[in-house]
Amino acid sequence: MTADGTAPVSDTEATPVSDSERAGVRSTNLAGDLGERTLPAADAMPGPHPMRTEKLDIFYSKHHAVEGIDLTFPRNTVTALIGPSGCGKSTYIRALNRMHELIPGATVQGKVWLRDTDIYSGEADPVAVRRAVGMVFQRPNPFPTKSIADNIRSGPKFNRLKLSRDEKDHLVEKTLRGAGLWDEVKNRLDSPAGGLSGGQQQRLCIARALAVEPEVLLMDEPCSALDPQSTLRIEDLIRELKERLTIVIVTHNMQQAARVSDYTAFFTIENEGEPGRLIETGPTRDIFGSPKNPRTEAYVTGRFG
Amino acid sequence: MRRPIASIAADRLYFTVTLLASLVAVAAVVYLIYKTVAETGAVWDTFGIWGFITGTEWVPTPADGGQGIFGAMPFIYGTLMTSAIALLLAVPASIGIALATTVFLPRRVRGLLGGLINLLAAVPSVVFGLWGVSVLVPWAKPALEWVADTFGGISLFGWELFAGPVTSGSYLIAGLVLGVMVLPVITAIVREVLLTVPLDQVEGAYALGATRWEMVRDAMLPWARSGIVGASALGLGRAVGETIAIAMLLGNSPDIFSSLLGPGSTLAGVIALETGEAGDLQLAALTALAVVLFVLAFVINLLARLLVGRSSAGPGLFRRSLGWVPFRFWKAPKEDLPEGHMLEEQQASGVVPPPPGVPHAEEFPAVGEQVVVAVTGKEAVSTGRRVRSRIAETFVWLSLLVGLVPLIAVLVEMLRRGLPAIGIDFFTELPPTDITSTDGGISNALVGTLILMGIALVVAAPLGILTALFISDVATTGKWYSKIAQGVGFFVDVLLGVPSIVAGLIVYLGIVVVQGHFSAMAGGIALGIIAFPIIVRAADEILRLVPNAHKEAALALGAPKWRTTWSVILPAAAPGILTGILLALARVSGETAPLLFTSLGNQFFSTSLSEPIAAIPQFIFTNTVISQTEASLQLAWGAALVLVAIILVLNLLATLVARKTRSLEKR
Repeated sequence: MTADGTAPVSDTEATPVSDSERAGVRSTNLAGDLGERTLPAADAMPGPHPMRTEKLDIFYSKHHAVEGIDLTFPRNTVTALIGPSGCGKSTYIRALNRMHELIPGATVQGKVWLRDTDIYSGEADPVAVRRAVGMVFQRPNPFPTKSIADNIRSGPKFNRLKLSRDEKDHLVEKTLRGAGLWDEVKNRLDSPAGGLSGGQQQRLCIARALAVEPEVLLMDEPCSALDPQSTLRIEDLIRELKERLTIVIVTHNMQQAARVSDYTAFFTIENEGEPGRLIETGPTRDIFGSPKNPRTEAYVTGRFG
Repeated sequence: MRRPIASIAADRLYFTVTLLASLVAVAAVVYLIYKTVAETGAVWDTFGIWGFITGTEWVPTPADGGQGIFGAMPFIYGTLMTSAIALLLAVPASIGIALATTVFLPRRVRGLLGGLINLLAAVPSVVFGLWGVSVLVPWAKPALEWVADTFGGISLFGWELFAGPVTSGSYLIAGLVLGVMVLPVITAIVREVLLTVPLDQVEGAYALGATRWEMVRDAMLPWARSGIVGASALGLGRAVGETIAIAMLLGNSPDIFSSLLGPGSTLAGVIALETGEAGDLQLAALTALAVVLFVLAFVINLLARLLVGRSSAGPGLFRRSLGWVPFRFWKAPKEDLPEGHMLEEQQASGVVPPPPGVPHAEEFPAVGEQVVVAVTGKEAVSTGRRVRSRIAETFVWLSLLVGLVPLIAVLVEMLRRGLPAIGIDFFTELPPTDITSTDGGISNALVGTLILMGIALVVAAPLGILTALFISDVATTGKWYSKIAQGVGFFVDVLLGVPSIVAGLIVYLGIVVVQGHFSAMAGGIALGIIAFPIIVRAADEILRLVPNAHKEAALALGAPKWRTTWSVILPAAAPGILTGILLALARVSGETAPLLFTSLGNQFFSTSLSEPIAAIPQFIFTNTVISQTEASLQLAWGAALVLVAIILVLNLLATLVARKTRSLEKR
């Protein structure tokens, strides 16, 4: 870890691949050796990377769910995590803001760097971590009895951000505009959020997450419960939001990964009971266009998983 | 194709028998209620309805020898006042305990502590009364005297809340003990409602950076609000009907707006204490009080039912809680968050062509610099938030103390003073005739309690099971059946909310007075009236759990309805029904109030059903309230230990049987 918080180059050389079982697994960060493609290598991006994991292992009690993930998420990019069911994508993304530990028996080994702080170190506070790293869930989960505006304000309220009345109103408008929901709800800001449609609720949840100004936004299959039209709106939104944030999105939808992400990481699980592993990462165009690993190719072309 | 006549006849017989059983049960209770209401005529004639209800004087035998004066207001006031004190203690404490056992405590001890609090519900009212009289009142007296000396001068619109002298029975003590007694009921419901809060709401709050308390406040409590209000209303319904502990701890003095440190009386309490030796007009007045109490409890329960039914946990929860049936005996607890979050395969939706004219998300207004959030050190979570969360958690731990301290105090006292009283003699001897002696036992009361439970079982179980079959199984076969079943179901719910003292009084007026003598039979019937709705609702709920696929499989093979019920539904539901019966027996075995003027009690050994008979709860009551010597209190503690042991064994049996039923849910 360098003083300015820049991620050191973590790489394949550092991880011996002697194990025959892992022979096909390339555990690398996004910098890797895929650098000179359309997108610059992650390490060549300006500024320190907001988030990076280092040899992250995740467990549910004794069950080893995810093994040895090294990944870097460059600033102002969208990274898609893809892979078959049960490969640990959702587990992994929940470990990035310490939501994982809310599940009984769930533990992690390894490091998750948020700038220059390991969020699992003793000094990091999970409550503050979750504020800095926001999350949007598979199913929209607005607080149904609270009004639309109160849903937006609940994050700042938790975090005791000192806001004047004007600032609060501005915040509601700003985040709802940011989530592309303003015009639809501006006349009923005080009605309960439970009355919105599924797509609107999900955009409200995104707006709610934006209101505390997170640096990283995690999205766990945010469109899986939505209809196609709502899905496209959320995708537009993701493209807008990456100008301000760093986004990590889990998706089962190949087309969606191809449409919205800059980088893609492919996870898979070899056999029942084994941990999920990272197989290949790189700029999305490469993962979908010329994957290095035959399993990645099989998955993205629909022959497997 | 026609079915054989015998098959059709057998189905008809099955429908008719269950229908008749339901109607007999309804008719019997309606008859008893009729006898009760008929008794009250003299009161309305003499004082008028309004005059009686608003009357503030209760003078059964005036000094001038004239007719007694009877007004209900002192008792309505006393009932509401003790209930208010009880709820003031119990509602916050219950919410705290429910939070502790769903969120705040380590997962491993949640179930254990939840179970301990449920134990409070297994301690009968009369044992709390005994504890109050022999432990709490002497212990609290100096503290209360200090309160009287310090705050005695305070008056609220002329009402001196804390004026002396401090009497041994008082509103404050009775209210506090009542609070401890309703606490497990409210806790159980709030806990169940909190467990229905969806995980994604909890995660939604955490993901925004909420502390544990902030998550509870913003995600859990709003979700559970109507359930909590409903639980409080149910607690109120329980509190207004509570009899024996109040009768033992409140004194018996019809005062209004007297000091909280002084004596008072409640509707249920005065009925329990005066019915046995009342003159004609007084008996009519007491019966009228029972009508008032019944209406009060009915309205409160109706309100609670609406509120709990609207909550996420639903009407089944309401019924179980009214029946005082400990919770989650036949449903696997779902207190653990699901293991793992491997989300299910989501079907890729395929290439979706963008629909024309999807509006672009509006431009996100610039807000300047990216906020850098501190995730470590003091700035991460502000001191104010930490303090607030700490205060909230402290409240939760205090609540747990409020629940656990009385429980442990009662249990310890019961072992400390009860164990020495218990030897072989205690089970084989009759009680001593000399109230200063401890040489003797409760053989007659033990046998009496078993006989009374036996009568209650014979009265309530067959009728209860047939009624349950009617409202859950037969009701589905026709429009008329289903209409009648709705009526019967409502009636059963009303019965669930009837205070036990009222059940005792209607049996007294309908059977004891008619027959002209007290009897074991009358006591057993009173207990049966209490057990009946509990059994119906437990059996009904378990019968509904039998998967429809099983019934349809049998019916599709050409089995007639009755055979489907007999060989498919009943075997699957049998353990659950047995659980319900055991829990109902556990509940009535500790009842005192309905026995006071039905089975009366008996110094001697009796197994005759037509004679008065002794019972353990009634023995404890007599020894505590009437004898009041050190020796008789020791015998009472011994009897309390035996009684609680019986109740726990019944509960344990119910739990063991219920384990078998869990498999029903997995299928």
